[in-house]
Amino acid sequence: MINVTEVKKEYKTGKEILPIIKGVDFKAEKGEFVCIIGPSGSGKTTLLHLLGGLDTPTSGVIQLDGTEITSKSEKERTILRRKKIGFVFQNYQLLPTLTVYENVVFPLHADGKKVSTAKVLELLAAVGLEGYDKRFPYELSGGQQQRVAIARSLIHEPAILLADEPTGNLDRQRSSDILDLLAKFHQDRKQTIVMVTHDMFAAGYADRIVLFKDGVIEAEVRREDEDYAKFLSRFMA
Amino acid sequence: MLSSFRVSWRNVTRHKKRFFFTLIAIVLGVTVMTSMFIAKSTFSSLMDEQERLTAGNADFWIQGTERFFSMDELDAFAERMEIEEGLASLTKHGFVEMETDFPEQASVRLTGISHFDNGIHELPVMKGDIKKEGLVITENTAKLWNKDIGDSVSFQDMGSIEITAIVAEGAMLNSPKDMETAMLRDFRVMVPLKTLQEWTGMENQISEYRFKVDSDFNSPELLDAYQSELDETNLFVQPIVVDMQQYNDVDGMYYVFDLIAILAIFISGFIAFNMINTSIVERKNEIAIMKSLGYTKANVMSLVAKETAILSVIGTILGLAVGICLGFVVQDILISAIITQDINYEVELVTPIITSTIIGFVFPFAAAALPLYKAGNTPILDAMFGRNNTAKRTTRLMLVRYALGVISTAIGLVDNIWAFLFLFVGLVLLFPLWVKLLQFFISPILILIFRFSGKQAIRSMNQFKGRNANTAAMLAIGVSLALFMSAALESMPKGMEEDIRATFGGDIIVQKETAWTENEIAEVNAIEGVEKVKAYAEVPNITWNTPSDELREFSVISYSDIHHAEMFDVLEDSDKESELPAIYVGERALIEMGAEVGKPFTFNTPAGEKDFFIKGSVQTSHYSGYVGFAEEHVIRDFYNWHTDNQLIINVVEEEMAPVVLSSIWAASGGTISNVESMPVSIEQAKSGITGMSDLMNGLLILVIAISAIGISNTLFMNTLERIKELGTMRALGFTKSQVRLMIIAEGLLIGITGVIVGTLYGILVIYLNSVSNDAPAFLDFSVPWFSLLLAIIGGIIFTLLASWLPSNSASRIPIKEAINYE
Ligand SMILES: Nc1ncnc2c1ncn2[C@@H]1O[C@H](COP(=O)(O)OP(=O)(O)OP(=O)(O)O)[C@@H](O)[C@H]1O
Ligand SMILES: [Mg+2]
Repeated sequence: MINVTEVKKEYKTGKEILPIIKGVDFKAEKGEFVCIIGPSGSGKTTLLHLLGGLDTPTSGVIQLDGTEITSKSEKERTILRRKKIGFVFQNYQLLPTLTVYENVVFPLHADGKKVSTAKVLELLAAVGLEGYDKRFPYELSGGQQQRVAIARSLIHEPAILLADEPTGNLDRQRSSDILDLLAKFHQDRKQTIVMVTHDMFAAGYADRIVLFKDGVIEAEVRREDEDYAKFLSRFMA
Repeated sequence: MLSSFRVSWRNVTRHKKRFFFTLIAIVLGVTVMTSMFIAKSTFSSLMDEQERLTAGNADFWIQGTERFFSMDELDAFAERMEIEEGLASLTKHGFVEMETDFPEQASVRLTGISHFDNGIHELPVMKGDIKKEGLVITENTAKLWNKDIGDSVSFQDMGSIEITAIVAEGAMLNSPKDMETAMLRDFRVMVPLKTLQEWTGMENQISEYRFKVDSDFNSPELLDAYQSELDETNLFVQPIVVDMQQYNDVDGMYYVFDLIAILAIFISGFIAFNMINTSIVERKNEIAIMKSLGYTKANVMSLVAKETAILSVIGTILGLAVGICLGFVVQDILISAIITQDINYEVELVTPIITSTIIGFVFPFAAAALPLYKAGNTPILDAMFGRNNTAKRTTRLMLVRYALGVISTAIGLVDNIWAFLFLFVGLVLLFPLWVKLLQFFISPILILIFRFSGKQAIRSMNQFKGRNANTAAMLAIGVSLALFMSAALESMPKGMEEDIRATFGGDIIVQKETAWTENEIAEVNAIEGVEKVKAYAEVPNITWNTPSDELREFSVISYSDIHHAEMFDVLEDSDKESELPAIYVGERALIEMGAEVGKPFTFNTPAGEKDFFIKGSVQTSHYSGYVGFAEEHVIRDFYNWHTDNQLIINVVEEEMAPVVLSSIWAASGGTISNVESMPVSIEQAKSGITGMSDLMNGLLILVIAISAIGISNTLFMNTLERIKELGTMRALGFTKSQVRLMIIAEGLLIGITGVIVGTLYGILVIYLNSVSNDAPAFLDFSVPWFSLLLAIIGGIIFTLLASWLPSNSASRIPIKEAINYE
C-alpha cells in the first residue's frame, strides 16, 4: 500500500543544507496500522507530509497503492490525496470560517461528492461532538477541535489515514474512544493507518511500531514479535 | 452539502467595514462610468437624431447659388420619373409682433412649405391639425409667445395667420429655451409657402427644393446626372447631409468623459485589488489547509472567483442604478450647457447599460487576477506552518515592477492623447520608490508631531508597503487629474476667447438672404462707428467623403489675400505646387476628412464633383475649425458661386457693436438672415464652458472621493491585520488616543505622499499637454496655483476624513479579544 524507498529530505536555510530525513525505507501493507514514534524534531511530521504528497522528497521514491507520487504534478497529487488519503494534522488545521459540519464535509466537497447529513452527524457523534455541527472552530476547545480534525480525516473513507498526534490533546478516556474509532475503521474498512504519536498507550493500538530517530528508522517491532512488550515498556518509561 | 456561494459570501463579508468600503468603491466606479457612458451616448444619439430630422426623408436638395430662385426653373427637373416626392420651401427672416425688451427677441425664421402633409419632414404634432395649413409652431414657442391653437399671430411687415398646429421641438421647428436665449436664437416656425410668398412679395420664389428618389434608382451616378443637368444654371444639387460637427465640437468632451470613466474604473479596480489581495494574504493558511485536504489550484481559484463575483455583481447592480440616476443629471447639465434651443431628447440607456454591465462585471475580475493567481499557487506547507521564504521572489518581482514602471512612463511621454494613461500606470508601478523617497522628508515631521504614534505609523507604512503605496498612487492619480482638468478648464475660456478674437475677422458678421450690393455696403459703411466693411462669400453644403466613406458637409469661406486673411491662422502650408485649385482646411475638418496637406481631395461643389489641392491647414474659430477657406476667384470659378452674402464689419470701438448692429437691422429691411458678433460669440463659448466646468469639477471630486475611500479601506485592512499586535500594544500601555493618532498618522503618510506625487505628475501632465500636438485642449503651460493649493488642502482634508473611521475603530479594539484573535 505504502512503499517508501531511499527517501531523503533536505531543507535549505540560507546557505546551509539541513538533512532532515536521511534515507528511509518503509513499507506498510494494505490494512496495516503502523505507528511512528520518536523524539521531537526527529522528522516524523516531515515524513508524514511526504507520504501525503504535501511535500516532495529531495530524493527517493514514494509509492501509494502502486502509484509513484514523487514525480506527479501537484494537481495529480492533490487529486490522489482527496480520494485516497485522510490527514490529521498535528495542530488540527481547521478552517476558521467554516462550521464544524462544513469542515468535516470539506474533503468530499473538494472532490465534488455529496454526502448525507445523517452520515456526517453520525460520524460527529462517534467522535463525541453531537450537537456541535453548527459551531465554528473558535467556539470549541482544543480537544474538540482535534476531534473535528479526526472526523474530517475519516469522512471520505480514505484508504490511507495519516495522523499526526491525533490524541495529543485528549485525556485518556477521549483518547481511547478515538483510538477505538480508528481501530474500528481500520478493521471494517481495511484502512491503512500511519500514526505519529508520543503516547505509548496510543502506540499500543498499532500492528507495528517504528522508532524514528535523527532522520532514520532506528528500530521496528510487530505486535506478534517476542520483544514487543519489552520494546513498548522501554519507551513507556 | 456545503453551499459554496454561502461560504464565499461569508468570506467576503467577514470584515464588514472592509467589505462595505470595497463595495462602495466598486459602486462609485460603476456609477461614474455608467453616467459618463449615458451622457456620451445620449448626446451622440441626440446629435444623430437631430441630423436625421434636419435631413428629413429626402435624398437630395436643390439650392440656388443666389439665395432664392424661381419654381419655374425646376419644372423640367421635377418631372423626372425617379423622383418620388419633392418639397419646395422658402425661408425668410422676420419679426413677430410682440412686446419684447429687445428687438432681437422677436426674431423669427419662417419657413414656407409647399405642402404640409408630406412624407419628407416628420413633424410630431402635439396639438391641432397639421393638415390644416396655417401657422405651425413648437410647444415652447407657444409658451414663450403665450399663444394657443386658433390664436392669431402677426409678423412685422408680413401679415397675420392663425395657429393650426403645435408640434414638439425638432430640428426643423424649434424655439430658444427662454427669452434670454432668444437674444441669440430665432424662433423657427412654419407657414404655407403661398402665404410666405405673398407676404414677402416673392411670388413663385423658393430657397430650396428637397426630393426623395425611388431607392431603385439611387446611385452615385444619379448625382452626376443631376449635376450635369443643372450645369450652366444658377442651381446646384447636393445629396442631403446634415453634419452637426459644424456646430458642435464634441470630440474633446467625449474624450474627457472617456477619461473620467476610465479613471474611475481604474481607481475602483485598484481598491478591489487591494481588498482581494489582502484577503488572500490573510487566508494563506486557510487556503493551504484546503489544498492539503484536496482542493486543487482550480478549486481555490474558483473559490476566490466566486467571492469576486459577489463583489462584482452587487457592485455593478447598485452602481448601475445610481449611475443611471447620475446619468440623467449629467445629461441635463450637459444639454443646458451646450444647446441653446429647447430640445426633446430621450436618454439613451440600452448601450451604456450593456457596456457598463459588462465592464462592471469584468473589471473586478481583472483586479482579482493577480491575487487569484497567488491564491492558486499558495504553497501548502509554508503557508500552513507560517514559514516565509518568499523574500527572494519578492525582490525579483519588485525589480520587474520597476522595469515595467519605467517602460510605461516612457510610453506615457509619447505625444498621443491616450498615451498619458501609461504615465499613470507607470506612476502606480514606480510608486514604492516615491514612498521611500518622500518618507525621508515626511518622517521627521510626522515623528515631531505624533511622537511615538508617528514612529509606529512609519513602521506600519513599511509593513504594508505595497498596499499603502498603491493607495497613495490612486490618490496621486486623482489629484494630478484634478489639477490638469482645472488647468484646462481655466485656460480654455481664455484660449477660446483669444482664438475667437484672433480669427473672427472683425466685430460683426451679417448674413443677408441675397448678395450684398455695392449700395448696401456703402450704406453700412456710412453708419456711425463702422470702421470698415468687407463682403465675402460662404458656400454652404459642400459635401465630401470620409475615409470610411461617410458623407460629411461643411462650408467654404472666401478670402482675398492669404497674407492678410483675418479669419484664420495658417498652421501648415504646403510648398508644393499644383494645377488644382487650392483650399485651406480647418484642423478639425482635416482630421475628419482623413486628408493630408499637400494632397488632392474631392469635394461636391455647386459646380459638381471637383478635385482640390489641400494647400494647408488652418486654425480658426469659425465652425470651430470644421470649415474650408478658398481664394475668391476659386470660389467663383470652381465653386460656381458668385454671391457675397456675408459682410464682415469692423467697428471703431468694440462697445459700439450693439448700436451698429441695431442700425443695420433697421436699414436692412428684413433681408438679414443671420447676425454674429464677436462679443456674443465669446460670451456664448464661455458660458458653455462654465456649465461644463461645473460638471467636470463635480465629477473630479467624485474621482478623488473614490481614492479617499481607498485610503479608508486600506487603513481598515492595516488595522485588521494587526489586530493582535494592536491588542498587545494596548495591553502594554499604549493608550486609545495613541492608537488613534497612529492610524491618522498612517493615513496622513499615505495622503501626503499621494498629494505630493499627484501634484508633481499633474504639473508634468499640464506641461506635456501644452507641448502636445495631439491634445484637444487649448492649454498653455502654467501652474494653476490656486487649484494646487486647493488640491493639497483638499487632499489632506479628504485623508483626515478617510482616516477618521478606521482610527476610531482601531482605538476601540477590545484588548483581550484582540490578543486571542486568529
Ligand atoms: N521548512 C523547514 N525548513 C527548515 N527546517 C525545517 C523545516 N521544516 C522542518 N524543519 C526541521 O526539520 C526537523 C523535523 O521536523 P518535524 O516537524 O518533522 O519533527 P517532528 O519529528 O514531527 O517533531 P515533533 O515531535 O516535535 O512534532 C526539525 O528540526 C525542524 O526544525
Ligand atoms: Mg511533529
